[in-house]
Amino acid sequence: MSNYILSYTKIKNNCLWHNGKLIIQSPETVNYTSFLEETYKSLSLSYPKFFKMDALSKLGILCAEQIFADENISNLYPKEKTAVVLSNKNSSLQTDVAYSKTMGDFPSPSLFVYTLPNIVTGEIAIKHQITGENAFFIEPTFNADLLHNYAQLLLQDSAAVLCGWLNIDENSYEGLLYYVAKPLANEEKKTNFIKHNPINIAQLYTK
Amino acid sequence: MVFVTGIGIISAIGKNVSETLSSLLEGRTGIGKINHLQTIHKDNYVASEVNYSLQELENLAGLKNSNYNRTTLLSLLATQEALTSAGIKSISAHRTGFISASSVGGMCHSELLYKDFLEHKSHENFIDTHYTGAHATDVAKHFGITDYITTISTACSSAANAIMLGARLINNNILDRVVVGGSDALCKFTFNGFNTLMILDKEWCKPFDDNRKGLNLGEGAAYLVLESERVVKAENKKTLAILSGYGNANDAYHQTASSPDGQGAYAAIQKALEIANLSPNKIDYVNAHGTGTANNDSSEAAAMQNIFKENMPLFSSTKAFTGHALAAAASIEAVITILSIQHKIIFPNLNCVSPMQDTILFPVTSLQKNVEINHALSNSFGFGGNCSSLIFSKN
Amino acid sequence: MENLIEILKKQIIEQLNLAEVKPEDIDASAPLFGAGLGLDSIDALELIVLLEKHYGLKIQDPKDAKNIFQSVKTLAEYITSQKK
Repeated sequence: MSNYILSYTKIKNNCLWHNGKLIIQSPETVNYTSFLEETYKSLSLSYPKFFKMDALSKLGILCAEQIFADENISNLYPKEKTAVVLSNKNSSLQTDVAYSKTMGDFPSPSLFVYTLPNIVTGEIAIKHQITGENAFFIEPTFNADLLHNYAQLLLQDSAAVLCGWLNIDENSYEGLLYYVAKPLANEEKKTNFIKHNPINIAQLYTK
Repeated sequence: MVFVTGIGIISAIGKNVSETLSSLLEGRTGIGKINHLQTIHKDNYVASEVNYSLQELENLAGLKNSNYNRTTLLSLLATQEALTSAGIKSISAHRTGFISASSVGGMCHSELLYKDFLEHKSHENFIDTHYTGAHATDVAKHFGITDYITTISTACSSAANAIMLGARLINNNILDRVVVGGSDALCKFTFNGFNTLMILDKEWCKPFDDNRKGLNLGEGAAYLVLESERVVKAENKKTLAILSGYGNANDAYHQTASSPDGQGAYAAIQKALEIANLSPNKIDYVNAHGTGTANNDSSEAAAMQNIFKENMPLFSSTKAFTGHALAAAASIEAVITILSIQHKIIFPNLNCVSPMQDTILFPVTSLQKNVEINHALSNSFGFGGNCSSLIFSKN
Repeated sequence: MENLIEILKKQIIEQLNLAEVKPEDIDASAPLFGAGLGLDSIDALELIVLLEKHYGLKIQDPKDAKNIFQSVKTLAEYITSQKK
């Protein structure tokens, strides 16, 4: 029996898509820090901690928000049975650079805290109280096979996995999070679910 | 069933398993004056440095002008020992993977060279090795491992997660064997950052002591070779231990601090026990994460007390020997735990004199010999709430 | 002192990235940690940086900071006392 991708969010080129639908769009000239903060306001989020986070965590929080805002998703399975598996190429490089600029005079502890790629996993876990398994992979490019295989392994014990790719380059960024779950009896009949396999995952990334 | 057939390690207490064991037996710490790392904190702090320069590490590896950074060389040396220890003559004889963990990656190199590069465009080839996955790709290529390669970066639990993934790939018949572990070199960036968080002890750390002031940073690498039962039987292999349990959970409390009652730690230990099909009272020894920070040691003690209740096994943190080698810590401690099982010895938690006020737990503070360890638990808890626990069992 | 408190409020907001908070939202006598602004251990470290950056005052041990960082008022009192 297949597992299914029930929900996915993509943030790229100053656009936010949820389940393939364009939700937010900003001109490409807006820098991504501003875009992320504008998106927070557009979504009417009330989470002051957001402004203390680095760009990678902001990106992850916004992607995850769209997914868990849907009660059908957030109430589907217990949070201790939900895993989070994220990946990227650049680790926390953008924040490493920002921190290194403070190293001369007044090193910033709040920046240093984010100089590890898996802190975004922690931030998502804290906001949504997800206490299941968590992992972060460093890969040269988006690796649908790795994410698929790992999620399938986890789904032997976990009920759901939030997977994805959150990467920030000097001038660009991309975020893709998707929620895979074990099927409930009648869920397979819903046509808007995507079968969990590497081809479909790769398509979510390239679309 | 997943067997450990080989181990390899390099840290401040030794360049291989044999030296490591001697240091542990003789109570010889690797923590001391900083010799190699050119940090502004050199004279005010202690650290646990591998006692070889970059050039010397290259020589040890039998290489010349390799362009490998310190993290990669440490990884290569420990992997070399693990493969030899496992008696692997032909990598391609079975489906073999390499899963390595790192937090520093090539930062140890980049931070020294980038200014020069920006001005003179020199050392261009170091840029590719900054990428955290570069060490894994380089080391896997060096040994001809091709079937599965990936890098995990989840702070201080990274190597445990690499070990867990390896076990899962074997249990699901995706790989026959896998080299798993991690490597991190000391670097100025890390030193500076941990100092900014004010969790470094300027003196030798005191895990689980009431007067503990923080951790000592370390560096090193360690790898296990895990093999499937089928391969072990087919080749009549000598095995060092069984990886019988593993568990991971998120504490979901704070980006860097652990919850006061160690919820994430508790959940990770519990999952490991479930996989191992063991009740808590079957654990004979715990190699604790025990960094020496006020927060971790209290949190971990609370978690252990809740799990083990009146059956608290003997436990110790060995970080006063090795320092905290970040992404490599869990595999370094996995090797130490396996040595404990093999040699029936519990290595002491050095520097612990005054019991913590918020717990009744107190670690083993002197070398204990002739201890029958059937099952041992090894904890590693990282920033980002990433908590992992491994259980190793005697053959 | 009043002036210092107002300046401190702005500096705290900036140093701690309290983007949605205005100076007038901060009660000078209210606890900074726990409820209210909900500051955490990392914020405490940033306040230590603030003290050094803007006032040249160095706190060696975060534990010493607990009393100083009780409220904006106690922080202002500490700064004033050190200037003498």
